[in-house]
Amino acid sequence: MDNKMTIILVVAAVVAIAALVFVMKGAGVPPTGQEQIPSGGAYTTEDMTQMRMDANSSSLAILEGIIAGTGDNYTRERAVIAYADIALRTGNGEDALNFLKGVAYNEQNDEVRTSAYTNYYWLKEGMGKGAQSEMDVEVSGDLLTGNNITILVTAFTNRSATDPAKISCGAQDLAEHNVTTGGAPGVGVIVNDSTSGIGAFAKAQVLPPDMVRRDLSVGVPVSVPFTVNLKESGQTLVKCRVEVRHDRLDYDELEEWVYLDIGPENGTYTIR
Amino acid sequence: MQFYSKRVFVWIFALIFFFALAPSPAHAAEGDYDDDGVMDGKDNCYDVYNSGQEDMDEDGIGDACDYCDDNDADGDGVVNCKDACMYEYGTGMDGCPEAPPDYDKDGVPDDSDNCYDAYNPNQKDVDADGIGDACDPCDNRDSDGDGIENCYDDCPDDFGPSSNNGCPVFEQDMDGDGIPDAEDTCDDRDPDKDGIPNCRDSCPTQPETVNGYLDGDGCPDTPPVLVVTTTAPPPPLLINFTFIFDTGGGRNNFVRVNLPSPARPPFQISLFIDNVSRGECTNTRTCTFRIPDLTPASLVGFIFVNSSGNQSTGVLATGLMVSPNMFSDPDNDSLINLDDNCDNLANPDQNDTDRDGVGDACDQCNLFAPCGGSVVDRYAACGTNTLAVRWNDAESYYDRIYDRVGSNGCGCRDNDGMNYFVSSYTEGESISCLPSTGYTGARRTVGYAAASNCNRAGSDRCIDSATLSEAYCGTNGPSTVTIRCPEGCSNGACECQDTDGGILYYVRGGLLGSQDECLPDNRTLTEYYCSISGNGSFQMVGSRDFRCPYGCANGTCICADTDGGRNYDVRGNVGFLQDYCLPDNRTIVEYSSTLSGNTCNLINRTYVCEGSCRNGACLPPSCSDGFRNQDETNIDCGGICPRCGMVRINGTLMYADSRGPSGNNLKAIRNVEVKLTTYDYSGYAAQPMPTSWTTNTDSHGNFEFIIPRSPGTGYGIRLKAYNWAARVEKDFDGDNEYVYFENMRTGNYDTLMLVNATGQVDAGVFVARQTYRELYESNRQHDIDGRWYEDRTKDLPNMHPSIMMGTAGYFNMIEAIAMARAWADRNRNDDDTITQADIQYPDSVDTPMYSTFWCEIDMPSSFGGSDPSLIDEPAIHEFGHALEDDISNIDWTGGAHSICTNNDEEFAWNEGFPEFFAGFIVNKYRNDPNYWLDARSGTFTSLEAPDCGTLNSNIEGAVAATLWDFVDAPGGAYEGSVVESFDNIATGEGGASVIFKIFDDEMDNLVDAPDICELVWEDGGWKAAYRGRSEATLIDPILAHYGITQAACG
Repeated sequence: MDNKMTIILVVAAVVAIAALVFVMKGAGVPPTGQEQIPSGGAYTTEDMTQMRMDANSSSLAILEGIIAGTGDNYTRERAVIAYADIALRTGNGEDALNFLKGVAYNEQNDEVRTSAYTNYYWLKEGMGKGAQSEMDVEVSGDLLTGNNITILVTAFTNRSATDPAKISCGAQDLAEHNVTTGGAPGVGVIVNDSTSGIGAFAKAQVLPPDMVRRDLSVGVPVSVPFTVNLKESGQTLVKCRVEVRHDRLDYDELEEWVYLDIGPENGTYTIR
Repeated sequence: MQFYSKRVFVWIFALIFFFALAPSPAHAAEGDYDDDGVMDGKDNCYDVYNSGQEDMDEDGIGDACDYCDDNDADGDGVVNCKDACMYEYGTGMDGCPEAPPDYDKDGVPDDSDNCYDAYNPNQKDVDADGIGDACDPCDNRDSDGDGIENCYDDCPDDFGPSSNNGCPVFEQDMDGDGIPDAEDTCDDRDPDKDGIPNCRDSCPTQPETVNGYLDGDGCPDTPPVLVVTTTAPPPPLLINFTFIFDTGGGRNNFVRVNLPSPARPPFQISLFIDNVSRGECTNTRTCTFRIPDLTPASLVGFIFVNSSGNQSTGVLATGLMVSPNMFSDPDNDSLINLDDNCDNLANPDQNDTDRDGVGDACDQCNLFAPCGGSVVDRYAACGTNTLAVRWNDAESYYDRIYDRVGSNGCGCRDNDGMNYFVSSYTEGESISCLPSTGYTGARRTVGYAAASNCNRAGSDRCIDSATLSEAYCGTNGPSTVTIRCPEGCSNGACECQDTDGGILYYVRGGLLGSQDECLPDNRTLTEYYCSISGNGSFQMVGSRDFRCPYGCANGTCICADTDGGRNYDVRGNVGFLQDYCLPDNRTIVEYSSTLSGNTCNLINRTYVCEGSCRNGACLPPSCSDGFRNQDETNIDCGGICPRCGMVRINGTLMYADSRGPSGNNLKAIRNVEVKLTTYDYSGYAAQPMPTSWTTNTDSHGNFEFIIPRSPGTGYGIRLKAYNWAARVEKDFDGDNEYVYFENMRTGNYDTLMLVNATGQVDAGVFVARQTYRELYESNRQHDIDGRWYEDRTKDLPNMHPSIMMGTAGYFNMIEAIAMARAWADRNRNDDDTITQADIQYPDSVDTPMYSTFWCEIDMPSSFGGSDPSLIDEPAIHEFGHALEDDISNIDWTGGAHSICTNNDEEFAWNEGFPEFFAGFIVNKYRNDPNYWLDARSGTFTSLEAPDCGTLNSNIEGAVAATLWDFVDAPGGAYEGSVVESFDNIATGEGGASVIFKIFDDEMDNLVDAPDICELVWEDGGWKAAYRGRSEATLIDPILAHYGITQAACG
């Protein structure tokens, strides 16, 4: 690593911390004065509301007790929502994710467990926790009608995976539609929705194997080439995808889209 | 690798840079994010529209974003946004002037408060003595109206004449049992104190058992033996008394006896004036006797008696109650014994360095006597009580450790206070000197430590089954006395029949027919306890009256707090003291108590309720109690109302699952993310400000936002057909559009929700209806419209941002998939990750498909366009493929079905999943209720059979196979040859409901669908079409597994 790269990384880290602080500040609700949280006895959904208003991290332990308890399931479910909300606003997201993961794994009641799933992902998004894996695509070959080109998909992960990563590419044409509005603002009617297709019906086709599974080790990139046959001229899309599973809840779904404009004499592509 | 490393770094940097630029959790575009004409890089508030760039405090942060006004209006150094007193110069941290001390918080500073430690904002002082009534025991009040002020009234709450010290005079009741003599059939008095009341005592003036023989007639009988012996006669006890008396104030005349060490309870002081007893005082070292007729010529005397019978007397005038030997001087030191601290050795200096009352000349336990070389430490220890002793200790260590000092100057402690009914022991003092080191400042010193240690001297013990040797502290130190126990002796104590175990005012007990009881004034308790006659010959009933501080009921003094202690929410009382509210209707005076032995400690707290105070209890704060708990203005935001500066918006989301008979089969939109967006209501803006908040609905479809208030804004709800299991998108142009709904159409601000002064909005129920036709052709009321949300920058042609179709269908699909996912989640293995599925709808494919490339379900436009209530069934089926993709141990590509013949141990999947066949069965049934459900002509022929190896081609086989999927769990009665973990859903609650839901819930919305009973049985037996067929015997045990029997079906 040269000095320039080191400087870039340092600057990037500072910017990242500032960004996280800003994001957290923007997402949070400032706590207001002190209000007594009831202690002991049965909690109600109104208590959850009160706790959310107070946004006091001391409520988290109470909520954990309610969620893990044997009380009314609807109250427990609401406690999950309040728990995630308060955890995000008080900067206790990491611990809360671990707790919610345990609930998602072990809770028997469908509603409470589902709420744990829902709010686990909600909290994770609110904390700005992005994917722990990365992908990249490279296109090589001439984009001429009848040619084969290669799309090289590279997968990389920073966290161990429980299953082989699923790496795939598939072609899909862009549909054409004509729309007329029905007179009411914002409301339209589909009048033509006939063209489109997946794979074999597109202007391009990813030749087999179009999906593979590869073991992915932390820090070790894995590249897979896909051969794409350009059957017809025109615009088409190849969507490439990497799916990496880290545990029962956490997984990364990464996509890179290659827009192809195929011509008889020249062609272009755009990666998005 | 070099190439790749650089790419990774670039990726990392790109991600970080993206986050760094992200303005908020809301999605933001680059450039001029807030569309105010000022580019983000130069915008002093880049995410809020502020084309004027106003910055009042000139801190570089635009007012629209600036939560802190840095100006300092009052110039006190605290900026306005942090200054609680913005326009008032203050020196406090909060920018307010520091208030003078006000201990009781009544608003009156301590230095001018006429009662600084009690809440009395009105400073009432009725007797104008400068002491506020709240503190003044003599404030001219006369609670019982008997003309005697409370402070002089022995019974301040009971009317009574001055001749009886303000206490009521009852009818003649010589025995004091509360029953007037005229009505009393039994004279309870017992002058001979033999425990037998006069009404049953044949010899009322002669004790029954003066000779130790008890026959119950109240008369003395033949004396058996004399049993009392003592090792030492009760001697006089030398105690120094001091007197204070005042004869100049009429009613205020009093005599006060201060009893110094070493007296310990129990003891009694009796006062005599001019040879007449004028009162007694028990167990109190400072006794005040109010003697209105006291004059300087009065002859005042007293007698002190302790538990061992030792007596001492004192006089203020010679000639009364003084033992003759007190005036002798046997040691010829010119001090009579009354004044001499060492009677038998001449010590005119009267030195008593350890201040134990025994002069040094007689003192064999003087802790300050010479002790070798320099003494670096002095201490006294007895039991767990260890004291460092200094010369100038205000209180002698004897007072704190010993009960009594003997004539030799050594301390003695009697751990039961000469209680014959308690087994205990005595301890005596000895002095020792030990080498010791210490420090004088920083200098280490070596010398001796003088120590006073107590050693066990004697123990109570039973000489025989009826005789007690009681250890006690006598004049000469530890001693013993032999007592005859009338009820027997065991374990070192006389046996006692008192059921409360002794003199316990707060426990009801009694003995020999006498129960502790309250007198009619409800203040005085008569406590009965075990006693022994003066000569130790028999047990008798001792009694004493005790004035209960807080009332008497049911034979005990009252100490309990009826509301359970410090409970502001319930009105309680400790005896006659009841919790009450102060006139401000906000402050409660709360009584509670603690009980320790015979001491009831009253705790009196004042507490400012969060809400109002009514009838002696705090009420929960509310929006309407008039108290502004948060310094708010104009409104009351306390209690469960949103806090000031906060907004609470709640509502419910529902979708119409089918038209059904009434079209109102509404179901909750569960576990979906709801976004609340603020809009500037003050004027039209093409784009909403990007301030948004998200939350999730619960299983009832309820959502609740708790967010900061933004004055002048309206709120819009935005909802995606998106949950943790699936999301609906329309992607025919490759721009990854997700379906979203909102309550506001573009440019129409009339639909925004506005927040009123309470900060609370109940948005009501949002309903996603069926189709645009239903919305507009049938003129049904609707709450949300559907629209496509462009999630990516549009740079390709043919975008169609406004397409409306099958509104409720979106939610029907994600709900159905979430439901299937929930079942799967409960039963899968721990290492099975299930990913979120995308649903492309409407799509141009002809039939529903699952794409393993993108974990994507494609739904044709023909589904749901006419009736979205059916759309969940194919969605569930295709989602089954997604589950298969995620869970199966075989790498299937889209369209495969891993039936168990494929030996897929993780997952078994076939076309016979229930939702498909339910619809199929119903359609068949609708056409011909007696139809033999034969599906040979259908397309679903690839079915898994119960034996997991044979393909059946009839619909019963399909149903059976489906049911089989649920029951052939490992270990189940129908275990197949291969373990299929997904099939375990049958073992959990609700697994079986998959198919029943289809039959009874989904289908009934369309037609009167058959339930299982209708399907296969009629008139108590198999339907005709089934009779005699082998399939009937196949399905029967499976249905029986779920308790669906012919008998149950009726």
